[in-house]
Amino acid sequence: MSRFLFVLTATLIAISSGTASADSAFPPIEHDVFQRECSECHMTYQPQMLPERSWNRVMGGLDDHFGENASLDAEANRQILGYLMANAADVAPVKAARKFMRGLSAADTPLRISDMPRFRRKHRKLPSSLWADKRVRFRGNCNACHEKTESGIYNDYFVRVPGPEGTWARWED
Amino acid sequence: MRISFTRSIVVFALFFVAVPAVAITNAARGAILAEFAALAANEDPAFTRFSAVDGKKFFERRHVGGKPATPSCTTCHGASPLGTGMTRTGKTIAPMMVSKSPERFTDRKKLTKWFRRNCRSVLGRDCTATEKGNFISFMSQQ
Repeated sequence: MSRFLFVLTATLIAISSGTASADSAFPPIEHDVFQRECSECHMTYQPQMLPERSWNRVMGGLDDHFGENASLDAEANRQILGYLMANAADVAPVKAARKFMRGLSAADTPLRISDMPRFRRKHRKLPSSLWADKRVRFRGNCNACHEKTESGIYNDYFVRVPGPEGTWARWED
Repeated sequence: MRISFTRSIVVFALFFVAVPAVAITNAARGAILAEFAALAANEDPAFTRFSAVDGKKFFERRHVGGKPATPSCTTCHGASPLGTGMTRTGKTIAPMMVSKSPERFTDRKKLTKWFRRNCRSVLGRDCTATEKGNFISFMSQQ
C-alpha cells in the first residue's frame, strides 16, 4: 500500500511540475495580419502582455513607434487593434494574462511591455551589462534570451543569457 | 494641379520603349515603374524618364527634415544596397538591389507601405513619384 502511495505521489508531482509551465504559458498567437505586420522588425509579442488601454496607445501612435514610422493602412490597423484588445492582459481569461496585470496601477498606461511591473520584477536581478550586450540590445528583445517565445513559454527553464566572449550560459537565479 | 490624361498615357506608353538596356526587367516591377512614370509626369511637366544616377544620389544622401535617428536610407539599409542592412532592433534586412533580391519592388502594397514609412522617417515627407521611380531604377541596375 505504501509503495502504491509512493508511486502515486511521485507521479502526481511529476505531472504537476510538467504542467506548471503550461499553466502560465501564453496562448498561441493566431492572427495572420498581426503576426505578419508586427514581426517585421521585432518578435511577435503576446497580446496578454499589455492592457487594452496600452495597445490602444501603441496602435494609435504608429507614426512614431519608438522613433520609427511603423504606420499601417487603416484596415490592417483596425484588424490588429481588434485582436490585441480582445486578448489583452486585462481581458484574456488566461492565467498568463492575470499574472501580467499584477502590480499595475489603473493610472498607468505603459507603452512598453518592459515597463509592466511584472516584467520589472522578473528581470530585477539582471545586471545592466546584460542589456548592453550586442546580442540583446534592448529590453523588448525577449527572444534573445528566452528560447521559446514562439511557444509562449517564458519560464526559467528555457532561458540562456549572454556570457563573456560570445558564450551563452543558463540563467542561474 | 489638373491631371493631363493624354500626357499620362503618352509617358506610360513611352516608358516601355525607353527602359534602359542595363536594367534587370520584370513584368510586375515594369508595370509599377510605368505607373510611377505616369504619376511623375503629372507632378512635374518637365519629367521625361527616371534616372538611376539620381536614384543612387537619393539613396546615399543625408536628408534633412526626417527623424534624427534615420537621416539617410543608408542608416538602415547600409552603405551599399548590394549588402544586407539592419533595423534599429538588430534584425537583418535583405539587400535592396534587385540583382541580389529579385522579388524587390514587385508588390504594390508592400511598396506603398515601406515608401510611406521610410520616406516620412528619413525625409519627413512623402517621396515624389520621380524620387520613387529613380530609386527603383537605381536598384534595378545590373
